[in-house]
Amino acid sequence: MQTFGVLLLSVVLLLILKEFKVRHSVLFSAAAVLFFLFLSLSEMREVLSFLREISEESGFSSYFGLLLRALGIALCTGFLAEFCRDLGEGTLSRAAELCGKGAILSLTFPLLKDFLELIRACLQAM
Amino acid sequence: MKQYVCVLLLVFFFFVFCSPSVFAESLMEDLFSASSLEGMEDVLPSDLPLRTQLLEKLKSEEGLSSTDFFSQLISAFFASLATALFGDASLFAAMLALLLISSFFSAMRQAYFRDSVGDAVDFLSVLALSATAFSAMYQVFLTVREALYLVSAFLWGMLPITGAVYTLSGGVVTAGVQSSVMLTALSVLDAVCLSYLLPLFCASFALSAAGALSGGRVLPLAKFFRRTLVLCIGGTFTVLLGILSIQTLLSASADSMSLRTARFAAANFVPVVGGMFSESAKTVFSALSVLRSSVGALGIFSVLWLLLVPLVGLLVRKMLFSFLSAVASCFSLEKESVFLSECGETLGLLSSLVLLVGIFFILGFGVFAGVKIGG
Repeated sequence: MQTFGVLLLSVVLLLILKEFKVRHSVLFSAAAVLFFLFLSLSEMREVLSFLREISEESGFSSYFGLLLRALGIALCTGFLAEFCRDLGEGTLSRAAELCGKGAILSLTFPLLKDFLELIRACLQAM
Repeated sequence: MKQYVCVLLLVFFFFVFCSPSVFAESLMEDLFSASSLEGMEDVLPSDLPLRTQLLEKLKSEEGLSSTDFFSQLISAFFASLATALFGDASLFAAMLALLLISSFFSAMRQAYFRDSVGDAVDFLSVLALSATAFSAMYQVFLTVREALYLVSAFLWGMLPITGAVYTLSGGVVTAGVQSSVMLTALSVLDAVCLSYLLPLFCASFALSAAGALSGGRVLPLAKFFRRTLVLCIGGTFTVLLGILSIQTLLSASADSMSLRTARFAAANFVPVVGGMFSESAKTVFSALSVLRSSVGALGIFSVLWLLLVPLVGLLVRKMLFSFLSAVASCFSLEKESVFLSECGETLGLLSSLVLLVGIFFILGFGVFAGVKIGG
């Protein structure tokens, strides 16, 4: 409930700032986004620790680490791209998305290589 | 007085040593060694339960019965069911956990990411699931291949034994026909099933994984592979089964007619000893019939024993994959659900291959045990 209160307050502040100090409103908006990002992540900590526990117990914590990193990259990319779009920088937003996608896909490469190796081994064994 | 005692002793020993049971016992043992059944000890699977007792019973005049195997098969079924369920429990728990994490990511994706970034996260999540599923499937492929190799080795070993028993029963033509059909079936098993069909199964699974990763674009190709496999397996085994049943029964009738003619000729045209020969031949054929049914029953039991464990394992895994697919569907993970259901279908097809191989060779032994020659 407190979060929603803070969110409402920041929106009101942002609207007031936009009226008087347009330059500062952008910085305020960025700060608010970062604040809420960390807030949401700290609220998700319990869920994430539960998922980490499950992954460790079921023996694929390496996959979980990979997925978590991908999630982090995707979150950062998403917020950055939206922020750029808010500023009217569509091209920059697309570039941010492209960078994020590239980073996630580069994470998949070790897994993809292992998977292809497994398929090759299976086909050879047959 | 001494003469009477000697005559009485002679009569006593005659009844003791020449009684029908003693004759039958010695006849069975003679036939056992004449049909090279001693070689069965090397051919039978090493882990077959009651191996020595069954071989001993094979020599006896009453032969083997279904009660000898039934309890063993039931206990083997439950043991393999428990092994399949508990052995794979950790792997399936891992996949279930992965589905849970994927559903969390999917919810995050819907809340935060735009499609392009979300697709990359989806790709990673499906890839992780595919890699986990593939390690389960890899073990299945290896188990099935090993079981089929064992069945093939067992049947190659049984081929001269069944041929010898047929020939000894007077079924020279049947022995030739049955051996050639079984030889063809074994060649098909070795060349087609092990060299081509299993790699095709593996390729079909790889295509399913690729289909899931590519958003379903490669799935028609995987389906085409599976349809081809169904046609290949169904066609091959239907033709082989037809040839085995018809040819063996026809040649058995021909052999039976020749033997009956020989017995009739001996009984009617050979004076004094002709009738005796005919009756003796009848006894020998009855003993051989018992031996043949026992060997057939032992063959069926061995094939069942070799294929039961992989078959139960396959069916259990198929069921678990279907269950995981349903769970994925509940979590609105469509790609994952389709992929898991494809895995289940591949396993179902693989189990039908194992089942068909089993049915073919069980029917082969059934025909061998049940065919009447010279009766």
